[in-house]
Amino acid sequence: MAIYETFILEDPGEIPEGKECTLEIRDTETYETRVVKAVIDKSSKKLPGADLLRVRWQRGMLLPELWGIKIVEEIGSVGENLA
Amino acid sequence: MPYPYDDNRVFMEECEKEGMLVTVKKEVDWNLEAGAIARRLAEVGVGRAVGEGGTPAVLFDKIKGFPKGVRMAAQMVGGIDRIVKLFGYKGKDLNKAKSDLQQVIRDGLNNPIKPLRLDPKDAPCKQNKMIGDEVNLYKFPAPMIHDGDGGRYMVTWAITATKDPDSDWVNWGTYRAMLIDKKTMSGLIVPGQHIGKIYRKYEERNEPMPFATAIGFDPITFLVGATAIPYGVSEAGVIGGIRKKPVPVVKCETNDLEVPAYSEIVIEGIVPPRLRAWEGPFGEYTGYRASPRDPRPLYVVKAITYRSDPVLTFNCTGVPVDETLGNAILSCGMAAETLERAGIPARVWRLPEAGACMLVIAVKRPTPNIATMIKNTLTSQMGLMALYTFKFLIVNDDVDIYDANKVLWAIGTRVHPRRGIIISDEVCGPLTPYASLDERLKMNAPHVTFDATWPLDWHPSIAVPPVSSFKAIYPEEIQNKVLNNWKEYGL
Repeated sequence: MAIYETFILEDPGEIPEGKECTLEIRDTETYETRVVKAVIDKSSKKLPGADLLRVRWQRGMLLPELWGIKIVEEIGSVGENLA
Repeated sequence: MPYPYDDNRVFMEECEKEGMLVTVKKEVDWNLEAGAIARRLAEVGVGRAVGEGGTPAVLFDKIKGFPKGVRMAAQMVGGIDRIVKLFGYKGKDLNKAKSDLQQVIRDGLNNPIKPLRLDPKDAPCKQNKMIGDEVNLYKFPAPMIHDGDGGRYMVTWAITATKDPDSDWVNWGTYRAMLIDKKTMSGLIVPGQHIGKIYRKYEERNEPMPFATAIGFDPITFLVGATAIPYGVSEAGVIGGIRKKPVPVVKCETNDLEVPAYSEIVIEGIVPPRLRAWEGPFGEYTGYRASPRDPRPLYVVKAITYRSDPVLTFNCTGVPVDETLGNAILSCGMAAETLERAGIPARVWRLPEAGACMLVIAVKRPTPNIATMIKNTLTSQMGLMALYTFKFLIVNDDVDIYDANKVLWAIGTRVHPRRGIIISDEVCGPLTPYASLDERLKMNAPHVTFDATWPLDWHPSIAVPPVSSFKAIYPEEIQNKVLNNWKEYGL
């Protein structure tokens, strides 16, 4: 089970629960950032087989709860088509 | 090798022999551990000499997940002892060095020496290359410096070179940047900074801005890169003027920019117009992680060249005291030069000195509205962010501006609550901690200037209170008698 991180700007509701959304995540080993389509839930138990998602506020503070994330599609890295 | 140092490795070796640098042989993790060590070194004893309770610079010899030879270093100029060594200062009084060394930036500015271009085969930074598809920023131990930072900040103790498209001016400045993936970074480029002004010109033309970021060169280059010298003046010339010897440079692989030839790592590429990526937050020199995550310019990497066994230097900014004492010396020297050119001779210092908060200016000849005049001169010529300050304190020349107690005494006793506190709206940087989010995003927030000078219409012998100190309130013959008999008193 992998652990990823994402940032929210102001409101946890920015990331819709239970439905597919596009967001930027980073893995917690290399911190490489990529864009994915994923289904998110504030409770990881509601997404069987999901990975874990740590959520940080815009100034880096960590929300105490671990969310669940099920990656549906890898869209790619930010710089993939630029370099 | 004597001063001036072309090669930071030689500087580090000499510092280690003299007890000013420690090589950590134990394996250290780039993920928070290296940053935490550097932070603790700063908070325990940065600013002071190692022999007086200060802490050393640190070279991490073994990095988790990286092969032997790949190294990291921090706190390179965190102590006054390393700073005086760096500038070849011969005086014995290390405290006096803080004022004496302010002259070096003024000398360099007024007597620049152009850099010397080396053949690439003679440039250590060309020993290894990654070009195009080979580029992989993860080959280096870019640190996660603070927990919760927006990314791995590879570019902190570094300079980024960019060229003005309308002239020969090349700016070398310290602008943070973090890794996004193996070929891209994003970085804070503030419109008011020199890189911001240059980048805007490229965006107006819809052209990418070439850049070259150099990491791990001689510390004088880093300190000048982090100092606001006038718009249109190339830092490389000022550095040569300070060294009284040109700084050796080499041309980049993918563009015409020149970088210090003894750099450990050089990252080259372009900053495309109107493309943004999420950047930040980052624990900054203000002592806070105030600037929120925001869309910022993207650095697309085309090539990386590096020395064998590269040393990635980084700066763990945070709560004062910080590794900014050297920057304080040069920035205050630059501020004093700026004021002198405006006809306002003054002494300048910063408190906390190895941090950023308040600029203290002792003016020799006050004139009406001198406090506002000084603040306006400095902010218009140097910019608030470049001054690393949120407050200005103007005092008469009798105040010892290097003594924090005397400065606090001046604030407490000489600033009139009604006429001595001047609030003005200024361009603020996104790092301003007390500014609201809206103020930081719009880069406009109030700042305060404290006028601690005695009013000009107060007669100096009648209205200005005499200072009750040993030097001011005792006749000279009594002072001499006491000083000459001090040992006989048994004191």
